Amino acid sequence: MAGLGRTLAIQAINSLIILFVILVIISAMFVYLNQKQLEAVVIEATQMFVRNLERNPNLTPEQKEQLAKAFEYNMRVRFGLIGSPVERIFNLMTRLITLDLGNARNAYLGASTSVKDQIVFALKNTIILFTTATIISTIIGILLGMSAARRAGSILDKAVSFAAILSSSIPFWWLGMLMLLAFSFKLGWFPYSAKDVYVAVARLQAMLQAGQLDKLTYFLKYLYTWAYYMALPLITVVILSIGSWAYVTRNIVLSKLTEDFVMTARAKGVPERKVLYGHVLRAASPPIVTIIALSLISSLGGAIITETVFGWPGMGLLYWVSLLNGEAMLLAANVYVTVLLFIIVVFALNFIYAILDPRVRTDAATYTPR
Amino acid sequence: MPSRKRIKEIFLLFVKSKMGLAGLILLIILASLAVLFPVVGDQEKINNWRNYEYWIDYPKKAPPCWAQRNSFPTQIIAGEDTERYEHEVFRVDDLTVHSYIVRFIVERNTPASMNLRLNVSYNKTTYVYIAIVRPDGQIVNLTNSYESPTLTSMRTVFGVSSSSYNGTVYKNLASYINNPQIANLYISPWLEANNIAVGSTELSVLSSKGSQIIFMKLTSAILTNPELLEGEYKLRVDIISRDESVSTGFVSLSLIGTCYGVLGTDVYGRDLSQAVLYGIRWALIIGLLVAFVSTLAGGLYGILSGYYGGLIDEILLRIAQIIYSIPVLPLLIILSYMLKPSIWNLVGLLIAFGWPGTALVTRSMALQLKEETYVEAARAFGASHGRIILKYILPQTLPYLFASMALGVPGAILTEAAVSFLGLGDPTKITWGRILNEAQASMATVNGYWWWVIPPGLMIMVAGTTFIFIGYALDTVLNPRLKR
Repeated sequence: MAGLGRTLAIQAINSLIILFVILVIISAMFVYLNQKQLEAVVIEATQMFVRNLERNPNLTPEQKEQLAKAFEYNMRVRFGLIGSPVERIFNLMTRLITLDLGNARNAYLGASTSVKDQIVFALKNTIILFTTATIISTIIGILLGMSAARRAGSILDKAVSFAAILSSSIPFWWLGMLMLLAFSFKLGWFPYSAKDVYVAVARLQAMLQAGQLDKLTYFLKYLYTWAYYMALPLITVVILSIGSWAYVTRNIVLSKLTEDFVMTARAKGVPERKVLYGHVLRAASPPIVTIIALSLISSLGGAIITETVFGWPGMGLLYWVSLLNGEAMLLAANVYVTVLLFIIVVFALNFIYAILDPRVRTDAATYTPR
Repeated sequence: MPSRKRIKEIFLLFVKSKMGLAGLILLIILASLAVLFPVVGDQEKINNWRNYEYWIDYPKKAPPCWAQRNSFPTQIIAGEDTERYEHEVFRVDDLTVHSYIVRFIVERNTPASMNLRLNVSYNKTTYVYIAIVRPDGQIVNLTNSYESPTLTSMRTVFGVSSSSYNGTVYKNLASYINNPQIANLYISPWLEANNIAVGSTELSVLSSKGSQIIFMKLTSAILTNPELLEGEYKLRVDIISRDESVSTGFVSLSLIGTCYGVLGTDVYGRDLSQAVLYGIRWALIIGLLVAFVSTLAGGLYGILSGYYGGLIDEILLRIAQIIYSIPVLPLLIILSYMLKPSIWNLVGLLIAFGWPGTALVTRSMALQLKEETYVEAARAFGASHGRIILKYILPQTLPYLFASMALGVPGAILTEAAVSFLGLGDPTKITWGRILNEAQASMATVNGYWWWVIPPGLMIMVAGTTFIFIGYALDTVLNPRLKR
């Protein structure tokens, strides 16, 4: 077990180094962004102040200049623009590490201005959408991929490959726009913006409290409301993910089909169905599970543009809104949380592998994120 | 390096695979459209893309004509289109006449507006005569004719001084005709001359629909149940001046319907087909440049890392892994937001984030290759590291590099489109992402401007598919082990 401990230690250090470097990069970038945006605010405010001073006849020009300077200095202190950039980067890093995120200027998503609350709120919504989408598309994709592998070269197999190619060159957000055109504009079945889902849910809750609804109808209506607002983004993500899931499954399964244990099983007279879904799928599951875990975790960053197109109140939309409003802390925290979760999952996966498969140990090169 | 014969063999195998052939054909089409744009497309429209004045006559938010079967196809006849109009100068008594006869086609429906632009310059009293000559030979005067006691002055029609003017005059003839006075003075006499009685009810129809009635079949039901008279019409415009040195020039006649061209127009009236066509250029430039540079750089980086091994490998690998773990799109978005929006900045960023994937693969290839006997032999002969890398290791990774180059193109195109879609792209370049950004900004999905949304995305898809086809085909041909 000494090998295992050493492997884990190396991997932990690796992950920490990567996390640290990314943290430095993020912090530096957001401090710079903040500086640029707030600098503009300070200059504008100072100009305003100077213009107001001009109107005051009781002051000498020297006094005015002094007052303006003092005002500008105060503004800089208030916005945290005093001190060396290195110091500020360090401050941002410590705040991110200790999760002391403070408050944003506004409640962009959810009801609270706290950065932490907004991130949690957005993360929850992203998970609701993308986890559901990933589960649906993996199930359909794996089943499709298995059937394609079983009949390699058939029309289904070719269709799967073609769908994979097509869906990897279609932007999610463009398909989203098409969905909105077809189902919201033309048919009017679904809403244009998913943001109102919370308004609708709150209305339901009010009705429940007022006694207009019994628990069961409330529950059904609750589910219906979520489905109604989530349908379009969900369908979009599922449609574009199925192809690649099926293709990946097909390739993994095909590579396993040539292995000896399959021949043995067939020679023993195990029914083909059982060979495929029992033996082969079991052998193929570790890489598939890895891909599922990784794609689940990388979906937590949300899809910035897809969420913007649908107005889904998740991490991606939060990122975009905070960028537009110059909320550096919110942005940095958003990226940091995503990267942190990603690295933790990768580490956990490596850990599980190291326990399950002794061959994986020691080689640090097997670390392959994404 | 593979011999010429081997290259030919690979090419034949490549073309023989359906995917390879499809990809190659698509690539040839895309590349020739990109190169031949000045011939196929209209460079002038692209040059004027941000000059909203230029598009003022074009119908706004107009769907493509093949989708709107019963709307008048917009025609814009400009001064350069000399084959579309005739110009004559003659004298009548003491008057100098500059006469223009512009031909246009009316089909499916009547034009919603008819904008006439002329350059004129005169210093004495000047009149104007305008008439429409119909395919059935009928002439509909829109001003006083030569036979009438007085001519119509420039002021009446164009609202400029009749005694002296130098510049462009403009009139929307459709709204000029739809006027009780004009209906009474010119349109109803024309109908009455053809034995169609015009009472007060008919007159009110004429004053609101006169510009449509003049394009209808001359039957007794022309006012109650009008039927379009399709065919070639002529607009005659005479500038009649007492000034002998009068000079004129035909600027344009814009006949505007509710549909436009093959792909319709956007909110500013811009011809979307040109932008979609022009977008191929930038997509190919961005995609190929990013894929080429990042694959080559990443490939060499990985080879160096794997070949040298030890501490160098450890450090290089760590750097590549860090960049590989960075969530690209958020950082790309923020960097594009911070930097000056320029397409070259974006290309640089895409390369900066794009190389590690290739590096990680070529590194493990180099780790294996450097143990091969021929590399050992080369080393024993005293070959330098550079020679070994370039002569013996790099060529072995080329098949992989070519395939991943092709497969890297769609990613670059998609990411550029994504960044441009958010409005962080280069405002001076017309890319598919930017068209979609403008569509989104005009709420195209809420307003149902499908012709604005579908084509750019389809082009992104086609361009992406082209390179994936090529990449897959290359991969199967060059790495035969993958063949199944």
